[in-house]
Amino acid sequence: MAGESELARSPAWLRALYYVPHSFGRTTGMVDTPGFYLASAGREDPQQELAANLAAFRAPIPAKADDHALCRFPRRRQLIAAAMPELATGWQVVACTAYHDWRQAFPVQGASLVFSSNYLNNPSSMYGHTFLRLQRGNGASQHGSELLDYAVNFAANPDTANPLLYAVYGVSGRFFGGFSLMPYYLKVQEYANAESRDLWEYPLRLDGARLDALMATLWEVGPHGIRYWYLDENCSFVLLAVIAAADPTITAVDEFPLVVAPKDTVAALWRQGALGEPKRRLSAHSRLTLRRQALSSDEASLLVRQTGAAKLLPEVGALSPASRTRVLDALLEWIAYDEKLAGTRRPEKHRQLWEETLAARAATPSSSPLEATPGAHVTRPDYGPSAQRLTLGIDSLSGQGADVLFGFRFALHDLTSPAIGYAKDQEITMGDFQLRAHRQGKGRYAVVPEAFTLLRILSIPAFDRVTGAFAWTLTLGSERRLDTDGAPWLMHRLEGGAGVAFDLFGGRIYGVPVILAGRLSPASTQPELGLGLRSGWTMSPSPRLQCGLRADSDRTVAAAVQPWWRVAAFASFAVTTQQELRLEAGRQAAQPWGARALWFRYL
Amino acid sequence: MKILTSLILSVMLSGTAAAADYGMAGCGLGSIVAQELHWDNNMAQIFVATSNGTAGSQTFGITSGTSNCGAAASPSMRGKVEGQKKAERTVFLHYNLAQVRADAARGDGEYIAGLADLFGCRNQLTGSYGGFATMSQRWHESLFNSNDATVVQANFERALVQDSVACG
Repeated sequence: MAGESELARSPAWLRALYYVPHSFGRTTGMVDTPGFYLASAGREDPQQELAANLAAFRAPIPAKADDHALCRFPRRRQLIAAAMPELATGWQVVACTAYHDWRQAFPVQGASLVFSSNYLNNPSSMYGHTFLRLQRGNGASQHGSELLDYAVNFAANPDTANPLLYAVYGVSGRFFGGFSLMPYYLKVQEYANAESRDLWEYPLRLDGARLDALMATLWEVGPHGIRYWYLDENCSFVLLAVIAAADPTITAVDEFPLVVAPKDTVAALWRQGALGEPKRRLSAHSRLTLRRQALSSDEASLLVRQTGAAKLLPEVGALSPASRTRVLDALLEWIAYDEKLAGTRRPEKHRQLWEETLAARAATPSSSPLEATPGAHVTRPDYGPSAQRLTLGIDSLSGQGADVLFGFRFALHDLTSPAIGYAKDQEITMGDFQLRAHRQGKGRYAVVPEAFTLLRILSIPAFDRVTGAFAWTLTLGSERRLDTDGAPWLMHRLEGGAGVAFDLFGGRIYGVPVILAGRLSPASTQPELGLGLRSGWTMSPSPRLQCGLRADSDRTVAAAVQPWWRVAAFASFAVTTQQELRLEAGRQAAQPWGARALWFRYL
Repeated sequence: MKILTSLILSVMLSGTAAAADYGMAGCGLGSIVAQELHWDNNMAQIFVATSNGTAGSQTFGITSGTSNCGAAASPSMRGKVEGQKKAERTVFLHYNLAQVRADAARGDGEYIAGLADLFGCRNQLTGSYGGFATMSQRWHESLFNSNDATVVQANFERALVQDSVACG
């Protein structure tokens, strides 16, 4: 039937069945539990699936009417009825009580895509997480409390608490992920309060019919599981597929056949005009920072003294009401942040101080609304480059004429790049593979490894007595170095350490001593232990410009070999959102000064 | 991955509950209130790049959902609805107590506004909840004389009976 094959090929039908492009160009259904696809080849053949659904819609009504396909698949029912209304008139009348009760219990008048940004000192949190907020209501009230809205979340259900196993299983699709629907305040507690991550709420541009379709598709896919593939079928990608199932004009889901970072899904939807201006919901740490910024220097030092005390200091009572209000509010935020007060957690370290501060604040009737800043837009997740990038460069740091550098990185952000859309003091690199075409003579080049970084993390929060933040780093990878005779060798190591960072001359200076294990010298035949230092100074004169200095050194503990060191100055400029130019000048031990120019193309 | 303690295990769908199911059990949220729910962050998370909340994902399944609380009801169901609203307030307090207390002490804020909403004391046209917030600040000590959400909920109910202006 003409209408039938047209519908079977339509984006609306494919999206409703959660057909997505995979690597190697195949497009198949991504739901992994039985009962979602009714045909035996329903995951690969949308036409066969449509035929199976049509047959199921005509089937007799079972004892439990809610089990009938017309009740289980309201989204498919909508699409078929719209494409082939003459068929729909022949369907039996079924009382889908469960679906109708569910719709009545959760009246929805809007939806937002929510992105949880990074939190302090955990660079891997920069990947972020996305979920949906469904705004409750029937169109009448615009002043309901957002906390009472609903959150729709897709997450893996891991069967291990071991973080290494979790990482391996998560990448290899061993976990199933499932959907959940809960009060929005639970998500706010989890992300904004317990983990102290800002939440960026982007309204989805969905009209009434599309909102209806969103609820219908959630009803269909909600009870089912999807294998969780951290790289390409993670929370953000599944949510993208849910939004596309409700609004088939959204093509962002086709942009990620290989890997997807949650931040990139937000950017893709933004580019497509599917999102409205975001609102930033402040984390516990952001609220604390704002409250502290409102303090005078005397109030700020009183706060620092107060954080070291178990009870409220008498000086607080002697302050003017306005001053007392500010200090008490900052103190309340500090206790909530320090104790991670969220959910059912109650204060333990500062229990008495918490009670006394609350009582004192309640006795001070002045109000102190939090002046939420619009949020430096450079940190908006829809801003900034994608996670994956290509590198192309020219390098004369080897001192032997110009070599060509080229490479590819899977993710995510490093501190030598302008921090647009990312935190300015956190770096995480995963899967960065750089090669060098080394000039061996006129017209002759040899391709050699330059640097393979499996994982590199560097976090340099400014030291702060109130939050106690320290700097740290972890790296697993290899890099090409030159020995005292200028001969290249590959250094392999796992290194890690903790240090300190603070603000200086308008930028951030850091020093992190590290311990290394691996091949740390050219002549070594077995793994060695070493010590080193990773340090630098980085500043951003304007949002699109990042510059600074780096100084690294390490040596084996055996001390039989000269320590290695490298210093460099760099400047990076974001030419466009997805293109960056970097210039470096530097030298390493026993080598002359050299320069390097790199071009990054984000994908 | 967050390591949860004492995770919620199940919530009963209350859509077809008998007429006598008033109160928290009828709302389907009763089993939640007794459970702890907080999140531990530790260094293990450095390997986890995306945060995957597992807060009761079986509990909060899409179709089993949170509850059928708050649905419009016929007069004969009014008692059930009232029981459901009370359960909603208790659960809200259970999971947001620290922030509700802080907002109450300040006499303003999103969490005290949310509680006002749940008590029907927030003006849905203007969004104002000032009377409720002022009451919570004035009677802070007696309202929050316990960490038990059930007790705090009852304290608020009694206070609203005595202070009718607060819910204007």
